[in-house]
Amino acid sequence: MRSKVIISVSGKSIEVERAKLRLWFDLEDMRTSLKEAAGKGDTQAVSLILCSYLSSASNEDIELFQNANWEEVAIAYAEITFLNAPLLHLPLFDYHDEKQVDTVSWEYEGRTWYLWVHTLAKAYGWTEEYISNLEIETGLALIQEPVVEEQLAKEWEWSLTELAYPYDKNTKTSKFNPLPRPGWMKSVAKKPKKTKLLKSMLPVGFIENISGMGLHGTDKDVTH
Amino acid sequence: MEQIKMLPIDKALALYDLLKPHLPEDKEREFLDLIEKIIDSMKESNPATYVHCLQLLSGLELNDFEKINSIEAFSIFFEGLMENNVLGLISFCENLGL
Repeated sequence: MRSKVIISVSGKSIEVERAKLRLWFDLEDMRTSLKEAAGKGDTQAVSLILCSYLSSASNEDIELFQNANWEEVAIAYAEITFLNAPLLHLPLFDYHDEKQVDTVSWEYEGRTWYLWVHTLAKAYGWTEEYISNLEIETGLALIQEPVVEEQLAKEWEWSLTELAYPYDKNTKTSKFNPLPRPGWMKSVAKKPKKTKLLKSMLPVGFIENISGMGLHGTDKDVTH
Repeated sequence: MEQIKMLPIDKALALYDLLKPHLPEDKEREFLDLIEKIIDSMKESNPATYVHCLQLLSGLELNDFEKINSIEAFSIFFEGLMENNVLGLISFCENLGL
């Protein structure tokens, strides 16, 4: 893992260190804004966010990047995003729920960071300053653990209540109904095993594949 | 006329914005082929874009274009896109999701 990178902008060599948790969080926030602006085709916003990103990551003036040529900015951006990319893939952060989540009334801009600090402070008793200076991977992994622990504790409590064992009048028995888990904690479905068929068992002649899936051993939709 | 230089990021992205509607769908791009296709497309749909690109690349004002001929204008366009590594710029902008 690299701890720093040297970027060259307008003839100046700048040493950029790997971000700590708080700065990384802000940089990721900027990357989200950048994606949104790019999606709207707003090039002015994209260039401003790019320069702000580099300025925050390098602790240099934004003008340095605004006046530099675009290729230096592009290379610096690629180098710094690579430097700060988390090395751990955590299910809590990798999972994206496709369902639209309604915004709660107590939501506000920038709340996520305070939610993270709250989770870590409650679990480990750390101060905000200490949390801000955690390594990226340490911070992210330690956010997932209390969340998992809390869910498992809720599941245990749920299993002790009557609600977890609804009575079925037809079978005259109670069946355990587990507490639903958040999407990122659900087990990942395994790919179905490939079943080999003898060539002699395949239909003879022209086969038109209308299943939308590739034919076994080939990606072609039509085969002879 | 000022020497053509590589553009800063805001102008480079503005240049891409102008070029984008005229880029061929074919991803296998070659510089000379790309220039030809962009100019053909601009001629057909929006010739004013050509002048806007020239303004960005050269820093000239609109009035200044009355003093230069079409060959000089093409030279600015060609050199400007070459100096700005237009193939790299397109790739960078596409990666950003623009």
